[in-house]
Amino acid sequence: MSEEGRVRVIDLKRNVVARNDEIAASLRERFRAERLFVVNLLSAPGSGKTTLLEKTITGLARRLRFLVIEGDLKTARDAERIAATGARAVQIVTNGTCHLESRMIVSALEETTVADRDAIVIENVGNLVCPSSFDLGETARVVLASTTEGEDKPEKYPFMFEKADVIVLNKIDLLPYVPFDREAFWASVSRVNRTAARFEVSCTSGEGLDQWFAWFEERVGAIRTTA
Amino acid sequence: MHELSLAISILEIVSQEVSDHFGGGASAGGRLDSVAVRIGKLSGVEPEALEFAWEVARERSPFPGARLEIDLVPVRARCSGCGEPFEIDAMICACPACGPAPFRVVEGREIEVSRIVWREREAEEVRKG
Repeated sequence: MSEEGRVRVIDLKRNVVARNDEIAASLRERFRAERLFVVNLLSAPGSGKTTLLEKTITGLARRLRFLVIEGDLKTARDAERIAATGARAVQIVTNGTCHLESRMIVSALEETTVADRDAIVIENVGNLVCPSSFDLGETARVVLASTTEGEDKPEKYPFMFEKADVIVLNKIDLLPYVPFDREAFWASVSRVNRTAARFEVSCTSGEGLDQWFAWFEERVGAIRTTA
Repeated sequence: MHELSLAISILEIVSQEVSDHFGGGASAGGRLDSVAVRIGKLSGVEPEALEFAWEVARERSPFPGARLEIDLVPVRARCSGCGEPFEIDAMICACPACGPAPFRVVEGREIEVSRIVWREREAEEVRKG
């Protein structure tokens, strides 16, 4: 004889990341009200997120005021690099968590002020998998890849590339020295995402950065002028 | 391993549902048999990692014996050109009808709890009968 009785089945439809999405939605509302352009910057470790950010802040220093939220597993080294450019930086040390969540952004914003800022860049933890599941309330998702990685990354990590608003290929100065096939890379991007804006840059030689800066400034301008 | 945060969130949702439906705390009146989740193939969740995380997380929950059943949801998109929905296999993303038009993913990003199975205690059954 069975020890147990009747089986009750409850059918549901409950989003597991609903709490994160709710907080992200309220952040997005706040960013819109304050007319802030907010970028969620994502890539694998070593693609050059912090370097691109340093170049962007320096290149646009006369025109835009930045707040940078740095997510790292350990250490505040990246925030120190950003602070050295003169931008305001807040560090989130996740202590091992492999992605940022929207509640961490809420806490980071409590430590600072955004009223005098034009743009916020959130540098996510270097990881092409986990951060893709967590909306941070950003205006644009920017995914960075580099020529020292495999050109098939977009199809290997479709969940990351598919949701990108912008895809930036970095380290193009190395193209003559590495076996990276840039056409194959963009073809791979096209198979998962046909709408993202595309940039090719080298943070070392400066090639392509002007177009990236122009895009960034235009987006900030568009948000400022919305009623 | 964001799967561990997800497993903990799943247990929080389940805890709340159990108390809403069966009341009186998790252990009252029965035990949780299984939880079904729908995981989109484009959700970034690794099913094996989620199963592993579940085994770890349930130990510290009121439901140490509950099984996790994962239903994988294929990726479906809708072509912006002709409006036809189509399934995306292995991320070769082009509408079969009009090829290169942009498309929008309509299914395949799910991370959701879809079902809980609860076993009532025999004693209750006897009392009722």
